[in-house]
Amino acid sequence: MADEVGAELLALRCDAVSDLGAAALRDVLEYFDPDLVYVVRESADVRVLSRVRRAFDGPVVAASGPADGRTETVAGVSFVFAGSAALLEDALDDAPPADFIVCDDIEPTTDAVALEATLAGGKSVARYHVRASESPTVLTGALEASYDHVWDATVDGRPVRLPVRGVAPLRRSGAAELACLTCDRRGSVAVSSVPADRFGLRALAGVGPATAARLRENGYDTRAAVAEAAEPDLRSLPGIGATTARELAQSARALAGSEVIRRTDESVPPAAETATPLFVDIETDGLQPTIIWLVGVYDPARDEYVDFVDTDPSRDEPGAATREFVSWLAAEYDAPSLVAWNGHGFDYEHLERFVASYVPEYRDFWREHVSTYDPYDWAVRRKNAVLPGRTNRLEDVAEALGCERAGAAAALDGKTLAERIRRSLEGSRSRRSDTDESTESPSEIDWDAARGYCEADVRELAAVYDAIVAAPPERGDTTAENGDESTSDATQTGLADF
Amino acid sequence: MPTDDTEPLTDGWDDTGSNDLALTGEELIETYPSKRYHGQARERVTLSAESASHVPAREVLPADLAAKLDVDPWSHQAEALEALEGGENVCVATSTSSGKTYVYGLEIARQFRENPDVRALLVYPTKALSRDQERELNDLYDALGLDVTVGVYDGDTKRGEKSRIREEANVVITNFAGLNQYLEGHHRWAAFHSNCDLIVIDEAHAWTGISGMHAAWILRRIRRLIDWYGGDPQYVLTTATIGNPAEHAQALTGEPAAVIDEDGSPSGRRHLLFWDPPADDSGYGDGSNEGDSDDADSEWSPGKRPATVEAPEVWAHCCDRGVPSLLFCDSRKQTELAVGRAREYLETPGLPYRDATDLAAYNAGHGKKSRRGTENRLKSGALDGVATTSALEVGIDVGGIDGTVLLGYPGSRQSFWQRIGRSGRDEREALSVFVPSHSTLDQYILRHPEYVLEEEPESAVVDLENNPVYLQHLRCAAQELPLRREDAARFGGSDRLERAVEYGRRTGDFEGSLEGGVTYAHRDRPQDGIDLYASGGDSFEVRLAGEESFDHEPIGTARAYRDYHEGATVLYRGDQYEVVELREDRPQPYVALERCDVDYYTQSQRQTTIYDTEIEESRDVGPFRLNWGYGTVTVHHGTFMKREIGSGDVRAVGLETGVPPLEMRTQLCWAEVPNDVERAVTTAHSDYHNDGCEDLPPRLHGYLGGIHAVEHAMIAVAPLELTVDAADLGGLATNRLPDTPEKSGWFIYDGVEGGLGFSRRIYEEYEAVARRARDLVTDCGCGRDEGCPACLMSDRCGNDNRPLYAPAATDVLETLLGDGAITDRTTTRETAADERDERRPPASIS
Repeated sequence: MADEVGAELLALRCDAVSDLGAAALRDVLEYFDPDLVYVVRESADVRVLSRVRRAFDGPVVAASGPADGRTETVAGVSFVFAGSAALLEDALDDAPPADFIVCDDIEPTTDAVALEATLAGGKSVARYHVRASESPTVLTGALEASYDHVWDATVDGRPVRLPVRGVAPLRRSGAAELACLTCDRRGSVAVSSVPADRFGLRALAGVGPATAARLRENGYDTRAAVAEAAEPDLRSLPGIGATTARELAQSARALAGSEVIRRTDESVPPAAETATPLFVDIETDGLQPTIIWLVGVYDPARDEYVDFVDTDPSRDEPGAATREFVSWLAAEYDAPSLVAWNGHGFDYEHLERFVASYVPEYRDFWREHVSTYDPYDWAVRRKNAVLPGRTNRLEDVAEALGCERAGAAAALDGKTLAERIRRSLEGSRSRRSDTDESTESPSEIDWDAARGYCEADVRELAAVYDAIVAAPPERGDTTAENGDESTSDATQTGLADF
Repeated sequence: MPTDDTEPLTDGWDDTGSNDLALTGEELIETYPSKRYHGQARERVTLSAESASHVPAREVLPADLAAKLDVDPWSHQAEALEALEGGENVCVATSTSSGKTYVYGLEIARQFRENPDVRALLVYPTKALSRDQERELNDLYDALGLDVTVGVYDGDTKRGEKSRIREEANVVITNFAGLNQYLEGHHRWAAFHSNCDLIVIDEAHAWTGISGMHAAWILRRIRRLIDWYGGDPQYVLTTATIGNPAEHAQALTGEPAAVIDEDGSPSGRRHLLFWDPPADDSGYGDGSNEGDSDDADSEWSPGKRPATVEAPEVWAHCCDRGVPSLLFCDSRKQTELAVGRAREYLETPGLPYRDATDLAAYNAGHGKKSRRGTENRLKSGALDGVATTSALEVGIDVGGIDGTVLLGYPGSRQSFWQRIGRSGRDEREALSVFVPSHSTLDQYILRHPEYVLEEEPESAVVDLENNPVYLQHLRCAAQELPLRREDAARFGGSDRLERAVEYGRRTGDFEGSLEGGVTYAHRDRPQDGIDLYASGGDSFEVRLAGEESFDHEPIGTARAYRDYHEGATVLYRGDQYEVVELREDRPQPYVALERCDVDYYTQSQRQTTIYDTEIEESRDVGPFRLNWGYGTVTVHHGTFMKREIGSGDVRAVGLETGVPPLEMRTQLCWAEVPNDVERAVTTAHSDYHNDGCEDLPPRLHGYLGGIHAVEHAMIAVAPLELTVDAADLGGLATNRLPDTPEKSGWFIYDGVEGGLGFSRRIYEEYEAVARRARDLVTDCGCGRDEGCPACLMSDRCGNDNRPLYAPAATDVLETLLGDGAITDRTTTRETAADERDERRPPASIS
């Protein structure tokens, strides 16, 4: 990541990384390449903290440390760390204003019975803001990295805005997800995250703590070592059967060689002789969309990208883009085969819903003539292929396969786009003067950039799909493990990818 | 309906006729062995037969359907069908086996003729009932020659089946726990939702208290989704007779419903006996009292044979004399024991029995095959009697049963009549015997038979005010479809929704605004956090030690601390378990159970403190000030005791539970005693002294014993007015109220975070509850000032039931009810009252 973007702050909670060995911890630090590591107060453990300090040669700040204030400036961005909220009030009078305040005392105090939530430590932060006449963003290890809320406070009758962001690892079923925050000088934050168990040997498919320990005991310290090992050697390790050994080898090869490894001889749907795939992606306003405002389609046969964008998105007609898309689809293709990454988990579900309620006249066409395919589901959930990349998110897989994004599309991500659309939808109708900032940049949506992003996405999808098709099918081992059971299990683990 | 003509006759009875009941109530008494009869029949009632009221099928159904239906609908079925045709929702509140299934079954048939794509959602209380109803509906549609597809969609449905049912089934049968989960995948139900014309909630009275509020919110969630897809269903609710069917239907669904309660189904004459077990010293000499010890000098004993001994004997007698009967018991173990006792009894030398009576036990522990066998033998007449748990209370066809014996009061009037009603199908004459045990409700009903015979049935309570539960369902709703301002009408109104959304934005659960759509901010499934039997999310998993899975629903923290602490015994589906572990220092707290076979049960005692009370409403009741509002209650179930099953004899007390105190913000109501009343009652009873209360000012034993007793009695009788589980209520009597320390009074609070609406209803019905409490105190046969377990004493009492003083309680209640008794005695009013109030010593008793 380019340094001018901001400072990379990696936040760790000891219990989330306590299982990681030295190699895995180094892997974490290499992968995120932070400027600063912050260890949150919750679940603090000096043993883990010492390991982190030894593994990282930059500043490591622990919230559980002595109750004093401390300022760190990295990559031109300054952070004030405060062991307690009270410190912000007293001790920092002479300190220069910071871009970020980091304090684990800051979190909502809630009374669910009365539906009341207040910000603990909010008063102290507000006074700091007033004194510093700046509005640094508050980062707190007491909240997860998905937390993003602007609190309002009043100091001496003056209203103060307090933007608060969480930094702690995200809780999931399975391993917590480590979050790295890109913090820029204007106080804004972008988050990238990876589950804590995708590092070191654990990044290999099917390797839990026990298998990782066994591999290490037998001299396989790194993924590269496993990739170089012969399958029979792996199989000869105690407690590792033929299936596990094969899985290990395949997964290590995929990661080390940045290539797709097919695990079965199943052909990749849709079968090439019967259908040409159309790669699609939808952009919405969030995980539970109220609007689909962009549908992008890449047809590899015509080498053509087409999209349907609603540049004036409104609550009155959330299905406008869907309508355009479906009527075009019906006119151009008799029996189209759509391919979407995690389509069964997201795109198709919502397209189907939108077709049913906004374009009901196409419902039968959709149900009877449109086939839908999901290479993510086929490869990951149904275990037909091992993909390179730290996670199975499309951008990670594509990047591992060597597709680099460039230009405006590289600076965008789906969640940010969704957030902007939501703000724009709210801004166009909002009566409440909710935030002054949101009025300055409400509908600042760069439609060309958004379309560029979507196009990059479907082209990447096509490239990943091609890589899967091009990978040689596994011979001999024809028993695809795609029974009902593994599918439902995998749905659980698959959740972490999206 | 099965025809009986082909069934073989048996020696016991034949079921081809309709008026051949082998024993009437009188005849039961006459034939009972005279040395065993000591006037047990306390109440004899004959309920007269009701003839059927029919409406010709062609008047309510299209001609082709009417022609195929071989019976004419009863009048209430016809009335409901008519209301549905007129676009109304209906709530059918008629008796057991009055053909409520036909109401929606025929409505669906009628709609299917118009539109073969019609869809209906049927929500049943249990999975077992679902399968039963599937069969019944299929039979109906076969008879009508309609190709209506019925599918059961629940945890037992196979994956492949599921998509077929979603796509094709006209009728989908499920339950609330399942529905809560399936809502999330609503896009898969698009066709179903857009064609959904009917939502049926069967046994709607069962949804009350905690589970009732969850059911109500789940229904609002599904209704919103159906709306979104363009469906516009009507509701059919079926319920046992409850006091407030219209209100209950409205609370559950959020929409008004026409109440259909004029029952057109027939019933035969019924003989009902209240059979009070005789005194212990009746000289049976059969060892049935073994185990009774004399050590209980302070323990009061009822001096009666336990119902667990008496009821099986009455049942055995009926079965032997040609009245095929069901005996209803509370646990699996009891059904087995009862059969043993009954056999022993029939074999007792000198008693005139024929030694050929065939009895069996029936409970969920028996496995499907064995249960089917018992059902069939019962239906064919090969069995003379079956001792059963609630498993045979609803659903399963039991054939020509003539008699029902109830071992104890099942806890609600609805269940009482449901069990009684299992005998005497259609117009057959029937015999029923209620054998009360020695517990508060049983004894109350024994003394007040009018309660079950005449009075208004209890009201179901569904409270939508509980904010923690509201928030849980809002999170689900927002995850299912973004929440908009239009949703406010269904979800608590604009102000409350706005506040909840702001709360959720602050805690990081919600994103967006009501203008644009509020969405759920996390990627987990908030539906997984919903537990129909707990409030507020923090719930304990119940595991069976050493085993993979155990099909016990999760429990809330309050219940875990109260009944699932380490060392507690748990009766679940009739089996005994002991809690061996309670862990909450991990993301998923759990309790682990182990099967056990012990002859005692456990009960925890609680210490309660209440503070930060906040009055929402107040009113005067007599000279008392009554308040309802919120308060913070700290409950510590610190100790527990072991008591013998059956006799209730105390085996051990003061055992440590090891659980910490639990603090909750909840709803409560409390009465403030006017100072002059307090003075008068204190003075009148200042002589009473209880040696066990050294820490209380001696002069106050009488008065505090009085308000403490009032608190106990009111909680004990609350289930007579409302469908509440008394275990979900708690109380505290105190000499100094938190906000008005110059006054004394007593609290009744809801035992879960956020409240249940129970204390609210008690606040509204205070006089009625107080009147029943007064009757309980004054009528109890124990005649003791300090009460007995059937009146004032409570197993939950944190003060070991001390002090309790009935005369003072009576004075307080009569003053409250305006019967003015205390003013007559207060001529010696103290003049130094003010001075005493300043020195008011703090004293609280829960």
